[in-house]
Amino acid sequence: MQVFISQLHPVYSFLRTAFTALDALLIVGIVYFFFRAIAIRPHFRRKQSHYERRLAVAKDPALQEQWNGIVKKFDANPPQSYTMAIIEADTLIDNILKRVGISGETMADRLNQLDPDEFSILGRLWRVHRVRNALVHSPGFVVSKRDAEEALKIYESFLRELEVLG
Amino acid sequence: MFKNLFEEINDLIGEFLKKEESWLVLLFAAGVVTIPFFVVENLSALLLGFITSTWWLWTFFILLPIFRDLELHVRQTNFESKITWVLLELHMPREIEKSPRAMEQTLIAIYTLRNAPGNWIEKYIEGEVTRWFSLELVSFSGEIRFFARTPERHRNAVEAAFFSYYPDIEITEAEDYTNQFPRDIIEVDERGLDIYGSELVLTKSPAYPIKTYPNFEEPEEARQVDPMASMLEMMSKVKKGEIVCLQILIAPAGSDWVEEAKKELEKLQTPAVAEVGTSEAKKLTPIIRSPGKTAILEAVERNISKPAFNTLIRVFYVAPKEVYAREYVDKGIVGTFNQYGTLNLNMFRKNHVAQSSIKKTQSLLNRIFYKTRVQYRRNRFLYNFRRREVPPETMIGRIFTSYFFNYNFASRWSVLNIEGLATIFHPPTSFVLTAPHMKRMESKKAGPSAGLSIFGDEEEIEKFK
Repeated sequence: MQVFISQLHPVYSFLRTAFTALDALLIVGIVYFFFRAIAIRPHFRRKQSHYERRLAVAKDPALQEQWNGIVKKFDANPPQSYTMAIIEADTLIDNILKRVGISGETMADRLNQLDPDEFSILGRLWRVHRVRNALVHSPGFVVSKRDAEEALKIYESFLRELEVLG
Repeated sequence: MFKNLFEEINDLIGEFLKKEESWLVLLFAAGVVTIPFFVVENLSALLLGFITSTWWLWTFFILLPIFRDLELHVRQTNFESKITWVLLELHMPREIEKSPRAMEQTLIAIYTLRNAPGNWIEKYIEGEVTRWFSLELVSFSGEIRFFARTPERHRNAVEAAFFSYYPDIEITEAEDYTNQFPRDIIEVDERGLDIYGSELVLTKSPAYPIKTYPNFEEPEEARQVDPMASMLEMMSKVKKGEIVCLQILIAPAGSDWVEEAKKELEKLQTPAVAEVGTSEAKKLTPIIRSPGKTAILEAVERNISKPAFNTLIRVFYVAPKEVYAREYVDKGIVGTFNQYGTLNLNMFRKNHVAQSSIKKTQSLLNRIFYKTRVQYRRNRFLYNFRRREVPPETMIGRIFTSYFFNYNFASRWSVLNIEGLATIFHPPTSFVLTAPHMKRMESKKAGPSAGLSIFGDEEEIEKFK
């Protein structure tokens, strides 16, 4: 028996080397075709949830720049620049809500659809939004610097909750 | 598929354990397996040694089929994407006297275009697959049109096949109507549409034929019916904005299915036996076959005597949300396929796993990730329908086109012979007078007088085609 095996040994080791090499080749081939197969598989676009879409919108760096622009102009020409800053900040948030795909005719409709549990600042945002409406619709309405700063802070924290600002 | 498999295995084990002798067999087998471990010392070590010294051999035989199928899948998909297609529109004349038999001849002519990989280079390097055709019936807001899609290289042959048996038909190249369909479900929603689609499969082995046109024909004219009438009638009833499509993908089948069918036939041919005689001298004698069984046998034999196509039937419905009525297609259009079914032979049913919806109330399991799965299903159906996609040949191909929430194992071919195929799709005979909305040709064609002297080059003749 021992003799038989020792005679067989060169054949055995040859076979082992050959097959191990073949195995390695097959693995390389499988990896190569695996990636080709992944590349050609059908690609299905799925409907995103509100949250996923929000994240996708929030990644847009242009939004952050717009916000920085608003903050920069805040002190440029008081008191008109306060008014401008509030109106612009409001428009910015409304645009974001529109892009996320929340439907509604006015911004109030859109805010109504948001979940107060998800956005803790929502109640205060409503207040600021009413201030903005007053600024736009009733002539002669002015805001003090403190009110304007507070309003801007509320907009900022809402943007944080939307994850637009870090 | 897996559910069936588990049920079958369960049944088998159940049956097996019920029998007394099977316990003996099991004990005996357990003994045979375990005794060597007691008799020979270190057997487990020996086994381990055997595996460690020969693993390279086993790995090779496990990896080889995986590599082969993966490679085949990639090459075949490549081959498929390189086929150029032409969509032909078939304009029906006002009146067709021909029975579906003419369509059968047309299909034979198409069958002869069959290609299949002849050697391993064609199969594994070029990834050749049988080129398929598509016969389509589409109702645009009630206006019914006929289409045939063919690989460009077969265009002339397919046109000739139709012309030779239906000389009055006019064939033009058409723009693909599926281009106006939404591309995916996001677009479906954006455009305020809703979709539904399902595939149809045969319930039994393809050895059994469906009810074919000879069964609908009688010598007396008052008794003749055209089974396509109900389908056309249903389709012409759709409202404005709705589109209902019937897509029949056909790929000429080889002879594999005949081998399968012959086994089924053999089962039918073996006569039933009965015990006769006294208890001492029992004798088995065959019983005479009942007329019904004889009829089945005849039908199966007739079925496998004709060339067949791998067939995939898809029904698709897209409509604005306001008028969307799924039942109309789900029950109505699909229901018209019931007339081709007989209980003793074969019939069509919906392929529930390959359709675009999931029945939520059917079982609790269906509620798991319901929304995500439905989204995937609708997407896949739309994708398959628009691309006239055929199911992948290999298991690996099915796995790689699957997603975690949506598996591509369900879509499958049914085998229909030319007779069955001609029954479900043919230019409607003159018995279908009720389809007023069908787009027809108003003129009748006649051949030129014989012996007309024709001069000129190929291009000049081209103008008159």
